[in-house]
Amino acid sequence: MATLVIKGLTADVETETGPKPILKGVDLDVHDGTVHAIMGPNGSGKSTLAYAVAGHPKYHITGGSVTLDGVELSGMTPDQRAKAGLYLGMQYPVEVPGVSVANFLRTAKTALDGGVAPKVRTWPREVNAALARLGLDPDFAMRSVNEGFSGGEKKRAEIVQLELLNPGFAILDEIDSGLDIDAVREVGEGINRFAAQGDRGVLLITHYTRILRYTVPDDVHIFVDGRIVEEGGPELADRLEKEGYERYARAV
Amino acid sequence: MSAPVIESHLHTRPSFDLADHPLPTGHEEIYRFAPMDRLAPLLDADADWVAGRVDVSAGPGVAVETVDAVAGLRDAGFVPVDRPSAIGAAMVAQATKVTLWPDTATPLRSAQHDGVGFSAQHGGVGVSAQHGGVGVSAQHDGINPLIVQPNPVILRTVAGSAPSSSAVIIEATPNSRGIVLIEHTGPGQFIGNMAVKLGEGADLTVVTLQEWDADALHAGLHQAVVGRDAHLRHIAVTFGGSLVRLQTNVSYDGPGGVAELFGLYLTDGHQYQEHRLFVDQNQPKTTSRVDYRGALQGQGARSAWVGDVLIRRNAEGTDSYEQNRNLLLTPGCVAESVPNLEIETGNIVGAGHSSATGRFDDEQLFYLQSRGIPENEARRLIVQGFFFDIIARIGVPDVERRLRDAVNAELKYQPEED
Repeated sequence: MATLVIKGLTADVETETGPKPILKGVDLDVHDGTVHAIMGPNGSGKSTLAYAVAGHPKYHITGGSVTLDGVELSGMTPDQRAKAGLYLGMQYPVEVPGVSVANFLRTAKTALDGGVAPKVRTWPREVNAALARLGLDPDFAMRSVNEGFSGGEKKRAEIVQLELLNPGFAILDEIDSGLDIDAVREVGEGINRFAAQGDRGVLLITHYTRILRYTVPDDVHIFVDGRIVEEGGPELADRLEKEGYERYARAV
Repeated sequence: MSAPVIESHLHTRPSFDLADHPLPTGHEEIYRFAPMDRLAPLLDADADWVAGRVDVSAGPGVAVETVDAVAGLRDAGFVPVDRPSAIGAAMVAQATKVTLWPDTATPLRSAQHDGVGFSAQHGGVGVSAQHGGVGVSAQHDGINPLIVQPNPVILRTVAGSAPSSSAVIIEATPNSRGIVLIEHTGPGQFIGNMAVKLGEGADLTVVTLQEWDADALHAGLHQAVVGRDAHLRHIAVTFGGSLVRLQTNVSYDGPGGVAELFGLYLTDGHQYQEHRLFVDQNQPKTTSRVDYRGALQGQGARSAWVGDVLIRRNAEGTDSYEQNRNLLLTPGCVAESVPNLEIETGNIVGAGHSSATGRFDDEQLFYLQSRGIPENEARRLIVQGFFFDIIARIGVPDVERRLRDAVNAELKYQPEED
């Protein structure tokens, strides 16, 4: 069970000239077992929503609430939110030189499991299997986290983490950007495997509709100027494909 | 060496004569960062300096002997460049000389075993205790007996309460390969002079570990001469001490030489750690890479890194790069970083430098935390990675393992963030 409920959420981002309001009252319910997509033009604030929910230090929630299975997330540190079951797949995964993927995964898994390290007998096999499902070699685990990865490798690695850490709820921010067509399919299939567990929630944030060909959302929300302006089923994404965001941009 | 005198304010005039290295005021270029009050005992020629003991553990094919210090240092191309090194050279009569021969490369045996064998055979060479210089011993607590490599030579300086100094000469004869670890531990005031000479085609890795007690003072001068097509790796690891000031100089004795000078330091609130590098590209087609990483934590932690590269007029086709990066883990730390490049010819393959000092990267912290890793653990991981990143470039697996262990042991005692 993993249900994300966002009510009247407002948030600022820190800028050089001071805090700037980005989210202007977001309401959203994503129940477990469902995949929702948030689509919107560049600069609409959809990535801010992802960062604010995950607790990035540059984004400050100024009003409203975010709960995961009834637990209020705002006020928690990012690692506490992760322990509450939240995962954020990032548009630009961060390089951490000198920290191997294997060490990173083991450390994260240990932290999420309350300090219990994964089993030495089975864990490396699980890691290798997860890498293989995303078309990555076992050697990949010895590389430094995201350092020197191609755009595609970074996004595949985000899905590897999703599968291995297996959170209750995943927010995936522009997980399809910078991917070639094969990678989009592999990433999409990875999300589907995660969602197929039945009791997980997924919020896909995307600018384009192509990932939605592989991972079909139950609900689509159009995000413009810091709030959701329209909601519908998968057919809403199809309409966007034809018409673009211009209609919404004019409405602002 | 016969290299012409360098006309630059960055360099002193090398000399064994103490009168050529008068008591500095602190305004001199080479002392501008050092806390002179804390450095003072190492500038005091009137103190009762004693010869520091050096314990050597070495395998077969490695000769360990005691030689006249000044003659031996001079033969290896070593000349003091500052007052501490001149005091050290003046106060120590005998040097420990370690010579590596090429035939030692073949058998891979454990250091512990070979050390025992060597000790049994040559035990008489070393006269330990205060005045002799060399104590040859089989094994020591704390030395990793698992090190298995061609000729692992381990030198341990044993400093006592009295101010002490030691002179060490390491000669890698032509086409020899070897690894030398120098371990500095304990309390005391210590001046360490070391000459390193690589013959043609030699491949030598020198690791100097400064794991001193918290009150120790250490001034060191390491001077290396890299022969034709020889390859030197010099790795300085400074974790301990109240004050450590290590000067590492490299020049070349023929074309084709490669010098890789790596360093890592973790400077705590009570510590001053200074690493000074001078690479004299005095021969054509020589290569150097300098890369030092420092992490500072705690109020008053101070580090200084000064990297000088001089490309002589005759040294065409050289390739050099020097880099220093510092991570300031808490408020109240100061990291000085000065890359200097003097170029007398433009006919080179490359010459570059970079220096970066900054705080923790918030994005890295957030990324790790977003995966459930608590902030303290995330910080430790980032610092570990910062050091592991450079350790991975050494290319000598046994040394890499030894240094990763040292970093992990050091980070375990990292105080919690407020």
